[in-house]
Amino acid sequence: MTETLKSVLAQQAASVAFKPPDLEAIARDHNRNIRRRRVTTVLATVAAVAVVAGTAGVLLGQPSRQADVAEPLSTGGVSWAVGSTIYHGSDTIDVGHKVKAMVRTSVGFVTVDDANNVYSVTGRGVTRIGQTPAVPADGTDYVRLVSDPQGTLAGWIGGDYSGAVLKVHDQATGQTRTFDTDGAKPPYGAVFFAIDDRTAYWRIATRGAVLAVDVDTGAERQLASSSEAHTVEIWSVENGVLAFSPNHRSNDNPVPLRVGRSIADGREITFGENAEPTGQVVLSPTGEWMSYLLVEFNGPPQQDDVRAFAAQVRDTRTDELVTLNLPQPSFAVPVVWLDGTTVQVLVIIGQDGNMYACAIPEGSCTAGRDIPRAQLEGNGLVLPNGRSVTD
Amino acid sequence: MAAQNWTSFVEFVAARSSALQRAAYLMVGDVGLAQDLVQEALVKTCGAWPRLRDPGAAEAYTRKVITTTAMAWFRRRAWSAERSSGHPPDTPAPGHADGVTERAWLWQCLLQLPPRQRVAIVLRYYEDLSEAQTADAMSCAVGTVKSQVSAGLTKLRSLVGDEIMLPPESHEVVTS
Repeated sequence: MTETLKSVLAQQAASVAFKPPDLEAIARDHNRNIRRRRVTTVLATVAAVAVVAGTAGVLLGQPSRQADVAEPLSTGGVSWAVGSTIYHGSDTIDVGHKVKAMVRTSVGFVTVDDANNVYSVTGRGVTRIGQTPAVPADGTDYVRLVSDPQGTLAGWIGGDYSGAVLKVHDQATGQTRTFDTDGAKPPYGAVFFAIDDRTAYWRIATRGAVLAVDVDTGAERQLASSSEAHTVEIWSVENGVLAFSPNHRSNDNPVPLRVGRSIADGREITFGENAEPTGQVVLSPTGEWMSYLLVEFNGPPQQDDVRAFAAQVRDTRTDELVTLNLPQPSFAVPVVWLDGTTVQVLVIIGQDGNMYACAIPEGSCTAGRDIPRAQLEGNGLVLPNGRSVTD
Repeated sequence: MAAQNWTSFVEFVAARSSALQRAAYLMVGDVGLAQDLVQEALVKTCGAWPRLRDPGAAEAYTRKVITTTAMAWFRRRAWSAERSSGHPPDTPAPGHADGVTERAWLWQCLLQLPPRQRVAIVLRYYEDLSEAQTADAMSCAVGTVKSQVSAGLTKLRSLVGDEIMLPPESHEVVTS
């Protein structure tokens, strides 16, 4: 055997003939991609409003209703679900299945039902798009869906507990892509952390990796070394800014919490003595603001020694705290960012609840829509943060 | 795309598409698939053309799309499971070891490698990329390239025997 590897490769490559690339098809596909991007932008705007009205098909065909499309939502687009109904602004959508978890995109909603089916809810209707494993026994607050509320992608864990796949659905095109995990097992071995624009963030323990993946090209960027990969927990990613815990204590609050453009250069956020944020840390679309629920304890943090809860928003660049002007006393939870400077907050006073939209950095808050008392009882309220609820 | 950009893009395709197709073929082992892969990659390159500017950057970008798309295809189609039997192909009979047969045999052994190992070997030894350039094309760490190449060459030796003349780089100590 005298052939070298290099010459075998060269000779094998030279031994076959190829047709030249089809330039006409390249030009056609390129132009189609440009048109699709333009149409998607327009459709996303129309469909988002159409979903609110629940009559997208009619709206698209009725020029007389175009004024509605251009009209900004007076409620700021606050949303939640109870039973099979999604409440969005002043309108409701019956999706025909019991909603157990939900996220928003710029086009519509993605939901999970009580049989673990995943659905896309857009102006075009309700479509089943996949399946996700059942919530683990200890996962009452388990994140089942992720999305970029300003984009068109939503994601979830597919497969089962013996080996997961990662699913990314584009509501603008209706296409779902599947990414292999080499047999990684949820809920800790395969974790879908976040989607930021066209990039998905996940952990694949079988590869010892925390990855940022371009969902269009499949290009991967490793965010943590293999020794760090099992302890890094990412809570939110927006505009390339990550909120994460580098050495997270499993099943605990996100402490320490860092914010930065990479795992290596994150800046630690401090919350004062005897206080910790919960896992519901959410960055604003620009990454400039961070909302979270702060838990204040009477002494060193212990689950059964809570003194108070506080909804907080902080400037990630300066650490400056924004005071939210909410009714007091109340229990308030920041839920999701509606745009770059508006955050949706669930406020509960006694047995009554309301969704507020709070403007940042002013801190002024506007009541959106009362939540019927019956909806707050029985743990059936689903917020658009991807987390599951239990019966 | 502006006419000037389209002209320069067409020139790039004319100059480099054959080389890109050959490399893609070595990665996937199938002529039709390689052509599809390059066609798809060139659509993306066309979209990115205004910001790529120089042909060197365009080739690196296209190669990266080809590589990551190929690996994604492998994952989707579970090619390694379908193709890899874990056993070397039949060894050429004694006395029949002419160059063509040897090459065909070695090529069949190369196709037995897991996709990432084969892609890393093609980029390093056919494309002559450095470890850093290979890592960029595969969107992975340099250490991963080293380990993939090392594992690939080790498996290749186990399939074809020690008499094969592998490149001198293959004997370097791999630490990652």
